[in-house]
Amino acid sequence: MSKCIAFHSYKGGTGKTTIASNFAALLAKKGYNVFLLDLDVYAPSMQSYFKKEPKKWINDYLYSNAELDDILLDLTPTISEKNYDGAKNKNHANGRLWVAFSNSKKEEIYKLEGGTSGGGGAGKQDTSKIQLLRRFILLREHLISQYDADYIIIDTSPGIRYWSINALAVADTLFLTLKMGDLDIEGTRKMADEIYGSFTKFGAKSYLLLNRVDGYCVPLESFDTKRLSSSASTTGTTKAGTTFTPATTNLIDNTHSISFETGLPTSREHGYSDVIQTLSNNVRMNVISAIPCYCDIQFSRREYLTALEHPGHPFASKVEELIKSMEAI
Amino acid sequence: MRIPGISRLMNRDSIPDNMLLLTGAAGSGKSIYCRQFFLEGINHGDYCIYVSSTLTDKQYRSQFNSISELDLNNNSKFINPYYYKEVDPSKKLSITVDEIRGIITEIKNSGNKKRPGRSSIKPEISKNKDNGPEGSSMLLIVDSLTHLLAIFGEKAVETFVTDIYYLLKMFEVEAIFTLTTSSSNEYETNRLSSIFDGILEIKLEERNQMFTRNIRLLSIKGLHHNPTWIRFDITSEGSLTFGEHLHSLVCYLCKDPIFDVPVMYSDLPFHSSHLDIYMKLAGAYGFHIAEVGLASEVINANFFFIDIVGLSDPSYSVTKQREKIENLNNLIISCDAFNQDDKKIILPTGDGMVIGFLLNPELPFQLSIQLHQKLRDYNAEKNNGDVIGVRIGLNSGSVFTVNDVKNNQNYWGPGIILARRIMDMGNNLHILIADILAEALIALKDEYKTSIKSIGTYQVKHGQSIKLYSAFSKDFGNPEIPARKDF
Repeated sequence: MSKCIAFHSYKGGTGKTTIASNFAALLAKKGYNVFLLDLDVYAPSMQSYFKKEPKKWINDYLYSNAELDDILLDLTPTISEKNYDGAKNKNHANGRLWVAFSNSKKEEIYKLEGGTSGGGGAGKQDTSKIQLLRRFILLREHLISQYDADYIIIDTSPGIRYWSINALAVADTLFLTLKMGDLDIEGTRKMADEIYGSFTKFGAKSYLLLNRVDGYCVPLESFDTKRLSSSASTTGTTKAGTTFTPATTNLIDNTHSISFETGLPTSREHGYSDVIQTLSNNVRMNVISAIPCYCDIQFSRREYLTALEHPGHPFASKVEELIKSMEAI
Repeated sequence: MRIPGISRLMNRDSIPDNMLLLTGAAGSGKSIYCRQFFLEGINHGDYCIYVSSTLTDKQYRSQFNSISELDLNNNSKFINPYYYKEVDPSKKLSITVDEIRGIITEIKNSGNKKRPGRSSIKPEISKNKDNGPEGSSMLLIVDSLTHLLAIFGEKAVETFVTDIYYLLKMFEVEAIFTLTTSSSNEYETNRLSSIFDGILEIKLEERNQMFTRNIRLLSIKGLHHNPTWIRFDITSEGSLTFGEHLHSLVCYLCKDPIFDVPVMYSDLPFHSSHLDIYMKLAGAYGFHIAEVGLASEVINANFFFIDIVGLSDPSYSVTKQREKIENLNNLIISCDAFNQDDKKIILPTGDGMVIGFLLNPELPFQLSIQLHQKLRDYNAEKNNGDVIGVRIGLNSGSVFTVNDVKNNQNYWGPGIILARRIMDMGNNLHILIADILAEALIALKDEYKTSIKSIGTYQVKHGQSIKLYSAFSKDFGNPEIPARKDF
């Protein structure tokens, strides 16, 4: 049974693309056939995580100028190359990661943003958008029926926009990503009421996904290696062959743990738990996971897939937790 | 490879070049299917080789008499292996393979040069294939293996099919072989089918003394495929129409044909996986839904749905059918009631039309009466074959604007659908009216009370019950109670 998951947010910069990309890569590493779609069509950035140039873009597919084979990049070698766990997990051999990018050229963005007029004459209507939507629905159908997708992960545009709504409408699981420290409670609540309500009414499941929950950055050197995920070693090797050894302070452990019952941060020291609890109640969504803020990721000069490059990084553990929570849905 | 009905069979326009086996019982339509494959190929600019041990050259030409002699000569080759008279019978099939190889090689090497007459046949699409006319391919039809088996035996036919297979792969030729299946030749069928890239299967069913034909692409190498039976019909001209009945439904959201059981919502058909998406979109876009081209403006109208009774009678020529449609259109246009509402919706339906009057609920009824009177005069001067019989369904209801595949604004919705179903209940000269409109008319004028009579509750499609009225007098309508029909 295929699962289609959309990562969405009310505002931009919440970390949707980072989490979605790492999430997809780890799912593929676990042996799933994963398709990651960049539907942040107004500000695409996913390509920077993979550094690959596609032959064609999702935009081309939507305008019927390309077929699925043309837009899908098989990035399975990426997850294999970045296997730092020593001996390959048997499942890895079966896992596949396919990615389709949106075109970041401004004229392509304008085109998708506005659609093209259907003519406007008598008896005509602007239907270019509905044709694009139909292609998008077809894309999802074909990934399921012809490519045997286990997971379709969609990185959406933020807010209530044409392509974010379309992406949410075709998904069966919605992750509303919130960045702590930059919350717009009222806007998020309104969006959840107006948009998510109609999706959940017809079968979609929606969850809050908290990112940068501490409100301040956790330096890489501060990680407690004992708290790394069970699959991660305390010492890893980067792609470049350098050794990665996290430091041993205990910042996360004591003050930033997450309740397994509620998914909410349990610390009384930070001021967000009440806010989140209120928001969760208001929007009637449970928190599926909470990911702390990490300095090294936040201030990195380049985008990369932390979960692959540094599988021992606590961020990778958090993404794995998210996967486990999602699998349990 | 483009095989007839491919878009219905696989929801795509083409499949990789392959050698397909077409199986089915005797009389199921395999040869007709091959004929369509051949004709579509010729129309597309392909070169076609037709192998049959049952046809003479004359019969072959007669089968394709819609193609000019010149085009047939320049773009196809007929081979009957049995005609190699000077050869040992056991070698006739290998000679056939050699001849096919020679033709393919010659055509592939010569490009357009060997086909001077092909200028009248224009390729519709360009694939830029090497060694051949632009956009064109080579096709091979072997109809049928069953007859070859009877003449030459199993071993020779297996060798023939295998040789052809490698030959076709070498030259990228698309092919269909037919094989009549029965319980007695299951073994042969299985052995032969293993050589082919894919299997097409036709089944012929008889129900209520009516034959229905269904086809499916059972398997095809290299493609994930969920085989689905698609109904097809053979027209009086011998061409094939696909999905006319079982699969004529198109998903309201994605506009693709529905091959499985549709999910209905407000009388609109959806793929089972698309209704939820549609509902989510409708819920999310709210009143701005028109911006995305989905259902937008709701219109209430009074509908007049008419069709010509018996127009599809195969004894009528196409010219006669067209004449009848045009004459009916002229008669409708000449009615005063038709011209009293300049904002009406008019949608042609093939053998009739639907008119939605936006202003006055009396207009569809008045149009029915006026048309019947005009038809009476018209038919009085005509021979039996030229008489126009009509049935009419009237209803008031809502429709909404939708956009068709050509981006034209169109109308669709329960108002039109029910008018159609009411009309379908009637026979010649019936004017049947839905209760909502009939009761409104009766309440409007006393004179309507005498001509609009309740005829009880009828069950239409999907178990929907509707109270019907019939309008008649000595000048119009049909006083007989329409028979109840099974849906």
